[in-house]
Amino acid sequence: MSKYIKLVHFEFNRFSNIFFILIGITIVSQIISVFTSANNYLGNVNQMVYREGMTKEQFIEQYDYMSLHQLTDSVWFVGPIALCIVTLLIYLFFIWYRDWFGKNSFIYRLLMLPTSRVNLYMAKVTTIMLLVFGLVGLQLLLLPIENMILGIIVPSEYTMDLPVYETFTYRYEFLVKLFPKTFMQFSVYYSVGLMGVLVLFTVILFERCFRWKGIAIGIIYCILSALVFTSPLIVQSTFLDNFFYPIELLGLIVITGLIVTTASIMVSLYLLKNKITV
Amino acid sequence: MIEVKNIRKKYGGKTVLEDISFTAEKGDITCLIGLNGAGKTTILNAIMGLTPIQSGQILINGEVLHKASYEKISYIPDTISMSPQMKISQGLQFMDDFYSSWNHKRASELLDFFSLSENERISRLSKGNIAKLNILLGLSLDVEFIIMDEPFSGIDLFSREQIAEVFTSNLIEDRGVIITTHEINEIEHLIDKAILLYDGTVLKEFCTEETREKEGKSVVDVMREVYQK
Amino acid sequence: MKRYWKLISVVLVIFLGIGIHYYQSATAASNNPQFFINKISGSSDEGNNIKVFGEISTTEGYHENLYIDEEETVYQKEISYLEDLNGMFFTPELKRLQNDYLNFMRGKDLRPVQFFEDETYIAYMTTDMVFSGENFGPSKTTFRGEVLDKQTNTVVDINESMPNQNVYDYAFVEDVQMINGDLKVVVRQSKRVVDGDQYSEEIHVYTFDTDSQMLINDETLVSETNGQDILSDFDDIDYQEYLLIQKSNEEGTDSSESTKESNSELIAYNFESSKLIELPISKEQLKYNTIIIDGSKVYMFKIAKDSLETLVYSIDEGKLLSTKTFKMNGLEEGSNPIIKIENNKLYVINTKKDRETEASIVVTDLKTWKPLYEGAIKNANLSEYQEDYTLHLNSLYID
Repeated sequence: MSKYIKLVHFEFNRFSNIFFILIGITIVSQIISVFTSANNYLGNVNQMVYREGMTKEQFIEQYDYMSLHQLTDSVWFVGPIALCIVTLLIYLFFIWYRDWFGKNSFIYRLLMLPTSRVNLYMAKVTTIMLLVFGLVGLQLLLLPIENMILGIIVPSEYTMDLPVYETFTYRYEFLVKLFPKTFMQFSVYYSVGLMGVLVLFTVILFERCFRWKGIAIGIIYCILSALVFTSPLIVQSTFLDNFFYPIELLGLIVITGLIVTTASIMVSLYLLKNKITV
Repeated sequence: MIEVKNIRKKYGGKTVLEDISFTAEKGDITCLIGLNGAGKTTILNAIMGLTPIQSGQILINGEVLHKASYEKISYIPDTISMSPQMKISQGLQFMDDFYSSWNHKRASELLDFFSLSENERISRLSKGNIAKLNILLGLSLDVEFIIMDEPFSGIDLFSREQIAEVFTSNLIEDRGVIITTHEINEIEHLIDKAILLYDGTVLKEFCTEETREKEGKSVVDVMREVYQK
Repeated sequence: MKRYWKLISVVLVIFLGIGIHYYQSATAASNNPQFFINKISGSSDEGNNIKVFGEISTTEGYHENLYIDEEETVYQKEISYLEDLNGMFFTPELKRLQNDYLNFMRGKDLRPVQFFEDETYIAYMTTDMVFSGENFGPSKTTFRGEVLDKQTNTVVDINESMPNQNVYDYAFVEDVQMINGDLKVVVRQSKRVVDGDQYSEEIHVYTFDTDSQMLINDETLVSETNGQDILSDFDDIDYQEYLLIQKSNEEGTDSSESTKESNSELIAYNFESSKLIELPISKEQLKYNTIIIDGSKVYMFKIAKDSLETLVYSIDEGKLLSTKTFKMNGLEEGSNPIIKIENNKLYVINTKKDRETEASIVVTDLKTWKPLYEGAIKNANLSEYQEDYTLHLNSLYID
């Protein structure tokens, strides 16, 4: 157990510099977005209400209240989120390949540690999860802070104190998926995401074990996983429509999801223990 | 005792190792000799579980390789075995964290002996210093067997002398050592057993002392005989 | 332990950030306006089984579906993800069928008009239209139905092609009845425009024999160029004695629901006898706003300020029975109240509701014409809710 934690600690620290830079950029950029959005809004108010004589009510009707919701339009707000996503996507590959490439042959040391290779695998998976959830947690902590700053800058007759969890509704589809409204949805989306990561790791390990042949096998594995996972939906659309009740469908998908996840873990561990090569 | 029994390995359609068998006893220095591409590194990697074999068996003290084996065998590959972004001190800490057989006193001694600084970043070390660091990491483990792959390749003369000195010290004495090299000059007098490899097969396996006494041949003599056939 | 500070702080951020956020979203569900039905007079028994369904829209543009009863307001979004996944928030009858007859209800269209239930049977019929892309309408239309005998738990399948299927643009099932073991299906179908022919919409009654599983009869009830309305309770799956149809054969009909043009006749089809009767109701009377049928009686309602005038015509007796007018606060000429008859009781709900007005509910006994219950939909948490909203009430369900 403690070897596992030491490995997690090691894997996390290797990336921590970049991670904390991402955090810094996110905080700074989003705070900037609060100021720019608020100032834009107030500038608009000045123009419309004080110069052109619109009433407050008319203004609000046309331009809406100022709220966290408006921030999601700003590049300064969404930009860092996109940056973090891209960086983590790249690191999904890099977390493995960095041990083989460049002047690095640290994989030798990792494979020769007197600990089960399961721990090596789990440490990398855990690190990815910590990085992802860490950024999500950061964003969710930033929102009420940004809300507060907004409340200070913009006079209250123009603001709507939106509950924080309503921020992402009705705007960008992908933001709603990243920060869903209910915990149930959160669990579902991120579990599917984790399953995707595990399938990807299996493909990467196929490549590391068998090189070119491995890429081919990996792609087949990927397609197979996708088919198995979505098989209840496929059956549903080739059978009569709505054969399964939605709740049954959900249950089936949970099962296929678990199958794909378990298979990926088992195949990955098998490859890591028996077929990996430096 | 490390026993290698009839191992066979293919890589990308080519048979890289064909029916390799030999034993390395504790207390002996066993040397795998062969040209580049003869399969020496592959054999060592196979012993350490770093690459799979298609058939055959490798036993360490009668057991198949498992995670606890790594507290008993130490491998010094011919490439860096620690993360280059780390400082030497962090690398030593890493070893300490994971190996219960880590001997940090010996590590400090070797650090001094090789004149390496703890605060140096591994990525900035010269080739010679990297080789020394590798040896330090390998020898600071209280293990029964040490395996070294080309410990002298590409190393300057003075560093070589330092490394050779380590061989003769009691750091090596009761352990079993497997070493590969194509520069046998420095250590010919130290080798207890020689295994001559060619193109993935074992051509000859012999005890150097016996051969010297009975046939009056040195290792190089035997090599000439076998390879120039 | 000190070495691990980075790791620990990240784990902390994760639990705090995600935990607090979802804790808040879970506990703050009641940031929505809450309503309840408040009894003003009458018997509680008549009020506590009423569920009024509708949707609420706010100035922000949010729409939420909900229902209101005497105790509480339930928003569709609050019903747990799992419970409502079946998407039958507005059709509690079908939800009940689904709960009780899980396998029979698989793969069925969820329109109550396509179902029938009595003590013995549950019947279902749908039209499968296959479009081949060459013609405007389907190239093949098939009747696909199932009849479950509740006592023997056996299912009879019906799979028959629609007669003259090439001529119609669409065919939709509008009612299903089981009469003496035969399945009678009311279908609205549109005849295809072919050079010269006029477009016309027809209503047919198809009869299927459940023993032979075959189509045994095809009656055309009406065929009109301007279409017609079927005046039934679309949520009802019970036995109906009559099918009531109102023809509207005036060109350029004003299609608002509050007025019908003159010249629109009422005809009634008796499911058991298969007889089609024209109802001799005067044009004046036909100008009423809402016409519904219950058993063999036709009820016509005229809406005026604060009052509701009801005309009752009996098909069996062939004459007008009575006219009653009742007071109902809040009604205006343009109102569109929910009117439903169930178990010999008349339920009327005034559908406009916002911060200022309350929606009144009146339940009247149709045998005695005495009011059984009077209530109003009131706000429960007005002061907490800051925005302006409008509540649109659409339907009523008696539990």
